[in-house]
Amino acid sequence: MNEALATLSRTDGVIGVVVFDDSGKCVANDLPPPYEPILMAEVLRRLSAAFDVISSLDATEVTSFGVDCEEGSIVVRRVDHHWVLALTHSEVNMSLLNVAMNVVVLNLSRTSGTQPIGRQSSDSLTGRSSQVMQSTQSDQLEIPPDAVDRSAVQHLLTIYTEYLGPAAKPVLKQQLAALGVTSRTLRKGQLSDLIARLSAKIPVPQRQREFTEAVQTFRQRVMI
Amino acid sequence: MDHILLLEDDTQLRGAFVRFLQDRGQFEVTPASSLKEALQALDTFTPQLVITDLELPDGTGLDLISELAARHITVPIVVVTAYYGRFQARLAETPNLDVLSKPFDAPQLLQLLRRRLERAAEDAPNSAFSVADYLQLAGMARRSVSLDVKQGGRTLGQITVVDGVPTFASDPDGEGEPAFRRLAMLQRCQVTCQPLVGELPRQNLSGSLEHMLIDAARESDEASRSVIKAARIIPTPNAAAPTASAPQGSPPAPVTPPAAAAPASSPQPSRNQRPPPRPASALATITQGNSHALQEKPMNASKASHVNLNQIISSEGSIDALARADRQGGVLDCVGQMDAETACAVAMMAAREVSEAAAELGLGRPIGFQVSTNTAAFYVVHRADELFVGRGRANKNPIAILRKVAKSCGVVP
Repeated sequence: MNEALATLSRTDGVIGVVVFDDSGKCVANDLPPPYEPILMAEVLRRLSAAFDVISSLDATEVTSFGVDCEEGSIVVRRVDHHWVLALTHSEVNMSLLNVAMNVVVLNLSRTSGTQPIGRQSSDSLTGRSSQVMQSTQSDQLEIPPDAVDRSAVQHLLTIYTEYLGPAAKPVLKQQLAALGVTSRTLRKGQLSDLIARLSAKIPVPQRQREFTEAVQTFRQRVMI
Repeated sequence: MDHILLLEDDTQLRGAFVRFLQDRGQFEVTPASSLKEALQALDTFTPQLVITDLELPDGTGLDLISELAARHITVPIVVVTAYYGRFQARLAETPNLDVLSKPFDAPQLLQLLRRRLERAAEDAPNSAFSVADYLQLAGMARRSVSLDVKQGGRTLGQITVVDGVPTFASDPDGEGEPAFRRLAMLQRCQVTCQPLVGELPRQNLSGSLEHMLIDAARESDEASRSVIKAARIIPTPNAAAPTASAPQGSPPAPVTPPAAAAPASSPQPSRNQRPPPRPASALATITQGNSHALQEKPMNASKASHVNLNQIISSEGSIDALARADRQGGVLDCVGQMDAETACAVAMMAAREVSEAAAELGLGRPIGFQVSTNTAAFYVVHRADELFVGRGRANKNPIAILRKVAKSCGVVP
């Protein structure tokens, strides 16, 4: 695995490289101190969650992302159940880095014996699961007997929109996916967890409380 | 900034309304607590939209609606009421009116206002003649006229012609020839042509009308997607970079040279160093307009920065849509097909996470980020007080495109 990273690590301007699997476990790294896989995993988790919401605009999953900052960049590629993350200086040649990334992707896919595939069936780093992917196909959808009524989820979205604005819908979708359900398969027992997750995405604590109270009132009214 | 007349007798609610709308940064609100106050306000200005309650201490909202009709003020009206049923029959007869039943959600109101104002701007009748047509007519007849150019009630600029020769041009982004070039090729706008009377304005233009129009047409032509793409396919390192240009239909804005068409090392031409005109295509552009240019949809022109979204899209073929948002995620303007409101809101949320991640790794201030999926790529560029959110097709080197967009937006030199 480390050999697969060699091309990338040796590219001018690259500070370090690390590969994580879907569970967030570091499977290879070439990071100089003070960078540690544990820190990079946290950064990857944070960014993946944020970008997953953006990708929901396109109804597909993230295959790569990059963050460009004044002092350096983070470039991430998804390949065959792995995340390849390169940390670079700001003056790195992005075209060369891109080529090096391509080489790593090919090496990794050869190692695992499969072709690189952008869309994966499971993705625990972003909270998605194979269950979600399957459940999006309506013909295979099994609605549990204790599922929350869809109109209640719709109303929850209306309340949430009031507190989060236009991002409410994609965030709700993301958080449902993180729970491994859709708006139709959400169980009553999962509702509190969902509300807590949604609340955490509201930037102002006071508004978080107001949202929770508003939802609580609604739940009491409809007896969920 | 859209000016709203708000008629609401409840002090608390009125205050909340004003704060909420003004906090959005795109509305100027004149509050009135009674019908009398509202009518007095109408004597001093014409609002772009009216919000009114129905039950008032000295009348009803219907009285205000009647007065608007009597004054031939045909602006969108939003009725906010808890008594819709009582007035339903009469309200149903009023055109251009929406009703929000109390209680309602603030975002619901905001969405409605934006939609109605946007539609009102789109529905505003365009002049039969374009700016260029008026200029040519004034030139041929050697007339002295003043042209006021508006779009959706928003003033885009003025051009003064004295004895058939343009002498003065100004728009919110500047004066002189650049302003003339931005205004002259505009299409789909309202042009008021009035005889010039009284004192002449100072002169900031020199040269013949014909040359100025040809220059404006040439630059408009160069800004079109097809020309820029051709320039990218056949790079000419020694060629002079294009100068300012403004696709017609877009609000005037100083121009950032297209990154792909103008390499950083290319010498910039001076103001007087103009490439030779291309009369054939230029004249065609004067009369027919430029069909390639995208329409930029202004949502809050007063807050728009000096970045031309159309031009960025034209210069970067991988991007299909681009929106500009404030740091609260509110959309300021948008070019191309995109759910800009949602895209900007989620981009703003992601931007917060990106800033924290960058801080954790000691990477300094974020310039921007890109997210690719199998079918699309999203680009977000940070500026001090704005975010630019782009959407394009999936491609092989998105971070390089991100850097180009950041450059075009003036975030990096």
